[in-house]
Amino acid sequence: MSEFRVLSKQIIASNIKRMDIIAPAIVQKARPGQFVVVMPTEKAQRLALPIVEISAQKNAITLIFSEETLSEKALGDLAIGENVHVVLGPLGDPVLEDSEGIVVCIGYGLGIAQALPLCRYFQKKGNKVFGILGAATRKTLILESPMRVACHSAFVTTDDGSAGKKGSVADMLRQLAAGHQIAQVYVAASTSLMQEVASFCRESKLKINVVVKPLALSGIGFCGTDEVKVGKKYVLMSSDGPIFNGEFFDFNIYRSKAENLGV
Amino acid sequence: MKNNKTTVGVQPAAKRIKNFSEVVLGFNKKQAIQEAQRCLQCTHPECVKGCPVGVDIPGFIRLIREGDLAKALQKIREDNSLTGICGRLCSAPCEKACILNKDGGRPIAIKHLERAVFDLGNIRLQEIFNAQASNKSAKKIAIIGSGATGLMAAANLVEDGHHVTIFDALDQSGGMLRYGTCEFHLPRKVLDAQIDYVRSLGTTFVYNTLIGQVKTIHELLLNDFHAVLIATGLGFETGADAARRQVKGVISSQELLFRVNFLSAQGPAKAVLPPLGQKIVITGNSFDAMECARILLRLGKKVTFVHEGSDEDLPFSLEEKVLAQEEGLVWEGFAQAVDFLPNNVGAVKGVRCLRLDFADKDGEWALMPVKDSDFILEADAVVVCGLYEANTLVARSTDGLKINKQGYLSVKKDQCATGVKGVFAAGAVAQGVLSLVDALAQGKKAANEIDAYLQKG
Repeated sequence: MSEFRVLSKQIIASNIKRMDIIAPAIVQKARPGQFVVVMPTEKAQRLALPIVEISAQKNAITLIFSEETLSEKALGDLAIGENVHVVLGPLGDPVLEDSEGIVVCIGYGLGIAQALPLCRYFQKKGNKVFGILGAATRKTLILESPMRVACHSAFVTTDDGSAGKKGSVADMLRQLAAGHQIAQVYVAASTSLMQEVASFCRESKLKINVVVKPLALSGIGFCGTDEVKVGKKYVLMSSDGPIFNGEFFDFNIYRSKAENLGV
Repeated sequence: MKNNKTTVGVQPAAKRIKNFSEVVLGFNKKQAIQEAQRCLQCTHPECVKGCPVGVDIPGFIRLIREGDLAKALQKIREDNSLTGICGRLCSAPCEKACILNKDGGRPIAIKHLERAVFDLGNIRLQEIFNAQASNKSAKKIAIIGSGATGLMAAANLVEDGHHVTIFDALDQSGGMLRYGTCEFHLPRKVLDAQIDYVRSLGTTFVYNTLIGQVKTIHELLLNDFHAVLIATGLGFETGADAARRQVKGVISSQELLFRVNFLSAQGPAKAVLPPLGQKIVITGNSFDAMECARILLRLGKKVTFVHEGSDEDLPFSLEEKVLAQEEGLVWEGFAQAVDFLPNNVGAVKGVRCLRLDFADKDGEWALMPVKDSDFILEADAVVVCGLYEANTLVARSTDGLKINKQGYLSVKKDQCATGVKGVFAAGAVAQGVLSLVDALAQGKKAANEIDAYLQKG
C-alpha cells in the first residue's frame, strides 16, 4: 500500500509536466475532483496536487504540475521507475451536483487539469458539457485534445490571442450565457479569475462552483493550513474540498492561506 | 536514608537556547540509586493509585535500589511499554500522590527514575521478542493512528497474543509524539527506539494509508481484521478564533509544530516557516504553548506568552515554565489577549491585552478584566495555541459511528466500544485533549476491552 512509483512522465507545455504514478489503493477509491498530497523525496516539502486521471488498467493516477517550487522540481526530476516518497490520498470530498442541462467547465492554466475530470464526469452523466480553456499563451495551453473529446464543445481563449480567441475565459462564459440555458458552472483558475466568474454568475443567477487549487500541509486535518470559509462555515480542504459553492466561497481567506503556503 | 531529593541535570540555559538537544539530562545510575533509596516502599502505595497506567512503582524502585536497572525496566514494561516516552513527557500524577509530597516535602522523582530505567537499563530487544513470540492467537486487530494511545494498545494486544497492524496516514509513526513534541523534550532516537520496541513485539506498521478513504472500517472488518481500534487523536478545530486569525502573521500552534517537528528533514533549525519576524506573541492556555515558545526561542525569536490565569492553572508543568523563562521567555501572567492589531497592509503589528485580577462574579471568585488596564504588546507574528478538537474524520465513512455533543467519537459509558460491533475508540478521539499518561492509559484500557471481546467471540 505504501509504495508509489513513477510509471511515465512527459513535458506537456512550457514548464509543465504530466506524471503517471502507480498508486493502486488510491486508484481503487479516487473520485473526480479529489487530490493527493505528494512528497517527492524524504527531504522535499509536501505538495497538494489534483488527481487528473485515474487508470485502473495501469493502477496509476495522473498528476499535472508546473515546476516552480523546489518540491515541484524534485517531483519533476524523478525518473521513470523511481519511487515517490509519499502519495497520500485520495483527499477531499468534492460534491458534483447532478443536474439536467448544460454544464460549463472552465479551466485556466493548470486549472484545465482540474476541469478535465469534471467534464468527463458530466459527459458520462449525460449532460451537455461546454469546456472553456484559457491560458496566457499557446505555449502554456494544456490538455486541449482531451478536453475536446470530453466536451460537446470546447472553446479556447488566450491572453495574447496566440491560440483560440484573444480574451479571458470570463468573456467567453458571458458569450455562452447569452445564447444558452446553462444549468451550472465549474471554474478552476486563478483566485481573481474565479472571483470574476463567480461575480458574473451571481449577477446572472447561474449556479457557480469554484474548483480551487488544493491547499494542504498534513492532509490529515491536523495543521489547519487548509481551512477555508464557505458562507458562515469554516471547513478543511483536505476533508471537504476542493469544490465549493462559488456564491459563498470566501476568496480573501483562501488567498491569504494560499500565500501562507506559497501556492 | 537520605531525605534530600536528588537533583537532575539540565543543559545550561545559555547553551541549550542554541540547540534542539534534550534539555533535561536525566539521572546517571548512581543518582538513580540514590533517589530510589529515598522511597519509603509504602505498604499501600499512593503513587500506584495516582498512576493512570497502574505501574508497580515501589516494585521498580526496589529493583533500582538493588542496582538492577534491566529488571526494573522489565517490571515497568509489565504495565507500560512506552517507558522512555513516559519518563520524559508524563505529567507525573504519581509524584503528586507520593506520601513524601504531603506537608511540603519533596516527592520521589518517579518520572526521572522511570526515564533512567529506560536510558540505562535497556535490554536487548530480541530477548523480549523471543519471550513474546509464543502463544499467538489467530485474531487480527487494526489500529488507526500510531500516537501514544495506538502504540500502547498495540503493545498490550501483541503481548496478549494477537496480531496487530497499525495504519498511519503519515509516513512516520508517533502521531503527536512526533509532530507535536520537539526534540528537546523527546529525542527522536528515544521515540524511534520505543516504536522499534512495539514493532519488535510483532506489530506491523502500514504508512501513508488514510483509513476511511482508501479502505473503510467496514472493509477492514469484512476482509482482514476481527476488531478495529480508532486512535486518531486530535485534529484542527475549524472556525475556532477564526476572526482574529484572519490577520496576516497569525498562525496556529499546529502549523508551527507540524512544520518544525515533522516537515524539517534537515532538523528543526532549518524548518521552512512562513515569515514570522522577530517579536512573537503566543496566546492560548494550552498544553502546546510552551512547546511553541521554546521552539521559537531556539530559532532566535523574542517570545512573549500571554497567560490568562495563575500558576495553578497551567496546562503544562511549572518546571516547563521556569525552564522557558530561563531561556528568555517573557511571561505576561494574569493577562488576556483581546485583539490582534493589524498595520496598514493588514499584517499584525501588536496584540492588545487586558490585565486580569480575581474579583467577585455572581458570588464566585473569578478572574475578571481590570478596568482601563489595556496594554499593547508589539508583535511581528502571533501563535494561537489550543485549536484542537477530536479527529473524527473516519466517522464520515463509517455507518453507525456517532459524534457526541462534545465533538468526540461516541463510545459506551466508561468503555471504548463504539456503537459498531468490533469497532473501538480510545484516546483523544473519544475523550478530547488528554495528558500523555492518560492517553497511554486509554490505550491499555482499549487493549483489555478488545482482548476480552475477542476471547468471547
